[in-house]
Amino acid sequence: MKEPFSFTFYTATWYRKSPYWQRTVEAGCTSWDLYNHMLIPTLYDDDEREYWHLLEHVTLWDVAVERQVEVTGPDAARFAQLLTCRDLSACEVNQCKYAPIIAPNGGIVNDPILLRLGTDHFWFSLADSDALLYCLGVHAFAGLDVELREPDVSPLQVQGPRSKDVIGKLFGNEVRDLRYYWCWQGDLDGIPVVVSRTGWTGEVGYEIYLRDGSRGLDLWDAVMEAGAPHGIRAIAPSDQRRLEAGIFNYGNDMGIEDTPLHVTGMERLVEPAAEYIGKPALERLAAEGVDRKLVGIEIGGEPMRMWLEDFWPVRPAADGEVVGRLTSAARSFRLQKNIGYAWVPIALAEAGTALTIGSPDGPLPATVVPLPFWDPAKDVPKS
Amino acid sequence: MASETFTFYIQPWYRKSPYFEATKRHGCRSWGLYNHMLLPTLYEDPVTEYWALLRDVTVWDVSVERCVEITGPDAFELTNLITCRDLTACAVGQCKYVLLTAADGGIVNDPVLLRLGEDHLWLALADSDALLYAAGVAAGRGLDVTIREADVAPMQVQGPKSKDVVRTLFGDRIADLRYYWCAEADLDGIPVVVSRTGWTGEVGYEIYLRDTARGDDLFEAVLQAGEPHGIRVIAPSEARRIEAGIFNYGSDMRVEDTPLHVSGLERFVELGQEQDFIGKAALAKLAESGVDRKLVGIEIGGDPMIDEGALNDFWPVHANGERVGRVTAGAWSPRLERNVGYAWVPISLGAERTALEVHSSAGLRDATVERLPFVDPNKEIPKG
Repeated sequence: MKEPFSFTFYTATWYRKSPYWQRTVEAGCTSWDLYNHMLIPTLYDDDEREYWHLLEHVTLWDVAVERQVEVTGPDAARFAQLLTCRDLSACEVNQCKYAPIIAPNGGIVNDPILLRLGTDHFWFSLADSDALLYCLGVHAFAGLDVELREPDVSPLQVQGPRSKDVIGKLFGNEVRDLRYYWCWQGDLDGIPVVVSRTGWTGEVGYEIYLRDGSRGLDLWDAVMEAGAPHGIRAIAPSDQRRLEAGIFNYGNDMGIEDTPLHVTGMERLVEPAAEYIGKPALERLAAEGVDRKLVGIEIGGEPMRMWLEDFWPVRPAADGEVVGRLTSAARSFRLQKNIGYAWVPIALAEAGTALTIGSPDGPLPATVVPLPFWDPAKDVPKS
Repeated sequence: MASETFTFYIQPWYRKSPYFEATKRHGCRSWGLYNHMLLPTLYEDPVTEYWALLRDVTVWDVSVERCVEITGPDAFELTNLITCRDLTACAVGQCKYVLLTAADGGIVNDPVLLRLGEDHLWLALADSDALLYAAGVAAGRGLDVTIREADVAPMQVQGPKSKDVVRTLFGDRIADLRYYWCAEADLDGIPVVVSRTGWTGEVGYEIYLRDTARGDDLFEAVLQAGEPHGIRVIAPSEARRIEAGIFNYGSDMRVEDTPLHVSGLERFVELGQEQDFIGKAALAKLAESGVDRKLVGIEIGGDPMIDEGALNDFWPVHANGERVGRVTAGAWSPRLERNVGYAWVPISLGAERTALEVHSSAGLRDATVERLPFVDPNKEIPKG
């Protein structure tokens, strides 16, 4: 299979480094990506080994690139609701929600996890776009009394079946037993953190949000020490596992040109009770129906390697016109299948539809399938 | 210690410029990431590329300068609202260096604006998703505009012989554009806009390709026209832009900083204009009270800041034994034969000739605050 193009990258001052940078280097990280103007580990030694470690043991990820937009002030709740199509009226303090931020035309500005830290205190834990700038723009004429900033917060993910043991050791049973999509605020021997029962995997997992960037190495070391009996290791985000779970990668699978109604599995996030910017546009689109969709697909051929260099073209048949594009694809080692996502016209979005994917090595047969590929009721991460 | 390196794997969400294949063909060896897109950062070596820029003519792939296009009945109103410059005197066909400001005066981006029509504006962006800012403001204010990222790919043609190259390509009308003016043109059916602007302080132009399927054709046409003048494909020159007092958004200043904090940007805060703009009140207040820190020009002593001596991090700045700030940029200027750069310092240490200490990763270097820019304060070169 044709190798994706690679080159020697020179770090520069304007690519921000995480507070865990030094430890990720020591742990054997060999390649990074750029995300929110910051370096994120993307490969340690072997993506297949990292995947199995996540499924069978426990893993630690540097995701400091998940930068936060912090909303505080008397009108914080009203402002947060203005941004997202999720209904926040019943969102309690210490609850989290997957909360896409919506543009006036219904487009997705970002798809963060929202953490409600107080009655008037919210974080949006971002995917890769400068959503803070959108918030500043909205705020200029919103007439709402809030403050907006990117705080000094750097998340880690602790993911995998043994993550409960590690979190229990570090923070005690109360935090270990957090319900799915709830969070806790406290400290670890004086290191201020928030811990949430969330993650980018579909496995049991937690995120630890470090609130003092000068303590990055201490926190990393403490997690590694607590995880040592359980065989913890540092890995990069697993593309295979997030695809299995039907999780999307903003900027790659979808962007500002797409609405939640265009993306399989995101439709349910558009909640009728919510009042937000872009609601009229999404209501109109819901009535009309979308003309294209991001769908799950299974792809034939040889086991796929990590990463596509480019979006591969999608055709209805080998000799047909290009009608869409493959956005993500990887080998699911446990399903022993190639799985991915593709944009297709709505007429080709139904499960069972046959497609042809144009890989650099030739055409590959593919079929539209329901999402997610694994654990549709999310019994694994809730357990 | 030089900057750290690693193998970077291109993934589909890192957008490629329409000139990507051309830059590979012409020897590009490394890229950076800017506006979610790959930007050539190294061909041969920065000093060779610098001299080509100063003596002859160079071409750069800067497709990463994504153009936010604002159109519709309220396009001008929105654009004027989000910048601290007064655009009422900006004619169609004129360009302006504008700072987009937030309500607290913070810099959202520092694009070059091109006014293509009464209600047709482009903002050729530095590295931040400023489109999101404009969309947020338009929503909050209820303005009738269309905001999108235009399918446009700029390239820069910079250096003393750029005029000859542009004349060969587009004739006198375009070659004789005044500094910070632009015009539409076409090259054998390739639609473009050409502006008399650039990131150098040299004579230069930017060519904005409007049919991105034609990237290779345009790139080769420019190289062919430049061949008699020794044209060379280069990456943006850090040394030359620092000499000119040009800033790199995201590294020199960010949304936490206002134009009043940055030496040379103060004059773009046009508080005397009648209409309101976002951040006007905050900037007026700050102008009154004065800033407590400043980005200033510095000369940095010691070995040339190239190769092993290159700036590999925001080196701490010390004074009187205390850490007081950081270096944001620094490079060896081959013609000045000294290292020039920028640093954030407390206002009490912002005066010219103030002595500072820079704690580089390889040891101590002396530094002195200097007036900006380092060359050609009246911009006689690029206007020439």
